Formats: sequence, structure tokens, C-alpha cells
Amino acid sequence: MMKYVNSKNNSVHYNLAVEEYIFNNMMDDDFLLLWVNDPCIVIGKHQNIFEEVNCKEIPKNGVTVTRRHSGGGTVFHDNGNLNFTFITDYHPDRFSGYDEFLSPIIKILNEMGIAAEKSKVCDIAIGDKKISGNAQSIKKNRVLHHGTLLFDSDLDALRAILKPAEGEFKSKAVKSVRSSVTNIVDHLGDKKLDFDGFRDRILNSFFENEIDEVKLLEADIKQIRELEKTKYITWEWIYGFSPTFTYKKQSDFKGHQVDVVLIVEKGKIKECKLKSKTLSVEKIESLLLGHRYDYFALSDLCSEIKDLENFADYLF
Amino acid sequence: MKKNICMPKLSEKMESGILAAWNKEVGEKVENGEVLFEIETEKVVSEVESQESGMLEAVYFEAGDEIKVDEIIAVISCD
Repeated sequence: MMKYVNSKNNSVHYNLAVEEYIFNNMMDDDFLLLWVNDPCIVIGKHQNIFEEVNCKEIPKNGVTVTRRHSGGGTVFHDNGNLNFTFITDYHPDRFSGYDEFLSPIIKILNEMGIAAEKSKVCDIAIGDKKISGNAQSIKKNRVLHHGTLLFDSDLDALRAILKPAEGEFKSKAVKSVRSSVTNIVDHLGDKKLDFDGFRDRILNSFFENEIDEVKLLEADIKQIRELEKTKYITWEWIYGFSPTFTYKKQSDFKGHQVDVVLIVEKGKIKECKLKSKTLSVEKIESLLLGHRYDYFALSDLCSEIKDLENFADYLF
Repeated sequence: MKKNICMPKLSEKMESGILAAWNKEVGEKVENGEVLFEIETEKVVSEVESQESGMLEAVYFEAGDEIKVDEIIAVISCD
């Protein structure tokens, strides 16, 4: 029997912690979670955030960024996007991958008059435009499947943040694939169906009679808050978990021609090679070595040194 | 005794996977049931647990490499 967990919290950090907590601790039932996030960017577990997100822009836009525990690329969410999660048992010999989770979602969309079809391995699309991206996490004998449903998202809002930085990144990290997307609301037969109505239609399709809703206990919520605090909001997880990468740039810094090569491992500058005929490179190298590859921390660091103000801009 | 650790087949259709991360380093002790590495394939992250206890003696791939099912990834020298 499937149970329903309704997260009324719109924080992506909290909602990812809810998922992970249920995935790791509540083994006896199958679960469906429905959740909505305030505007945020969510990168895949094994992505290099610096390759995907323009880190300088994050605070300016008041948007939250985090890393999820499933695979795949970078997505953005807002309040017009419905997230769904299934958590259930996993048997390698008869695991179909995505179909067992996507088929019921596609069926209910079709019943609403939407010509939704499975696309690629794990997307749902209308024609060639994506409306849902999906990813999974497998641990022991459990699988967590989650996906997005773009109902009425502001699709242009966060494009600036996804703009790549200027230098050249090299890594074996998972890369994002840009897809052309569309909102479900533009394809509905029933024009009166709003976000809440859409959410109810999805929910009711999984429960024949009564919805078996699980209320998380205070003790559960305490542990979820702990997971949020010790993992999902931390620099170490969001930035530091990025796979090892090399950053290269050859450019002009305040009239000095500078070549830089950084190797960043676990979020820290492990190697730093600078070439310049006019700057004292050894001093800068020793300054940067071992330091966190964080735009704001490096900005502070460089701002205190004469002639090196704004050098952090050069490193991202 | 030495045991070869191979790329597991995680779904009916899987032919290869990306070794996404090592959770243990060469020379480190590994207990049966501990996560040894993670695979990512088609947006699925799978934690692979060690079936052996011992020491991680050698690894043949690094994070980011694509590996065929059943190919040898690492060697554990068992307790």
C-alpha cells in the first residue's frame, strides 16, 4: 500500500532532506511525496556546480542553489513546478528503470487531455518540448524516483544564473543537456484547472479510495531539520562535493596578461599555476593554494591585497 | 584471499555505467555492507556496497570513467 507525504514547506533544502530521511529510514512502506519549491536551482549529485551555475550571480538573484542526491543535470524550480517522489523497494532482476514510475504519470496526463509521451530515457514531453525531467537514487534494496512537472513555471526567470562562466572547465563531471521546455497549462483542455487542481488530479490518480496520508512525527522532523542543516545547506555539499576539475583562463587582468590553471579537488585549490610577465605570480600562487574555491571568500581575500582587488572575478 | 570487484548490472537493460565516485581510497579498510563506490547511469545514482571485508588494494578506474558490466573495477584483499 502506498502512503502519501504532503510537504507544505517550500524550501528545497528541507524537501530534499524529507526525501532522503524517508528513503533511509522508513523501509516498510511505499511512498508518494508531492512538493513545491520556491525559486531554486538544483544540480545533479555528481555535477561540478562551477561548470553549471554562474556562482557570482547567485546572491544577486535571491535564488537558492543546492545539490540533490540523484543523478542527472541542472534544473530550476519555482512555485509553478510540481515535484513528485516515489520511494519503493528495488529488485535488480526485475527493475524496469523509469517506466514503472513514468507510465502512471503519463496516463493521468493523457486523461487530462494532454498529449504527453515518454521522451528519451527519463523525460516526459509534449511533442518535442519537455514537461518533466526525472532522476533516481538507489541504495540497498530501495529506490527513490523523483521528477518535475512544469505546470506554470516562469521559464525565463533564472536563465542568467545558468549562464556558464568565462574560463574553461575540464572535468569528468556529469554535464547538463539543455532541453526545450513547455508549460502544461498551455496544453490543457480544461482551462479552469489551476495548480492546486492539477496537484489533486495527480494525487487522486494514485489512490482509489481514501488517501493514506502519513504525518511526520516531531522526532522525524527534528532529524530532517538536522539533515538539512548538516548537509543540504552546507558549502561542503553544494560546492565542495563537485568532482575534481581544472579551470583555465588566459586573459587580461588590469593591464597584465595572466594565464592561470587551477586544479580544484573537494572544493579546494589543490594546484595553482600562474604565468605573467608583470605580476608577482609566486605570491599569488601561495595565497590561493589550499584555499576554498569560493567566489566570495576569494573576493574578500584578494580585496585586502594591493593591486589584486577584483582578482577573484578573474578566477570564475 | 583477493577478490575482484566488478561493475554490477543494475537493471535489465544496463550495459555500462559511469563510475561517479569512490567512497573508499586505496589502502583503506572496507567492511562488508559499506558503500564502496557510486555509479551513475541515465540519471540514476546507485550506491554499491562491498560484499567483502578487507583492504581496498587496487582500483583500475577513476571517477567519471565509463565501465562495461562485469568489467573488473577494483581488488579487495580479504581479511
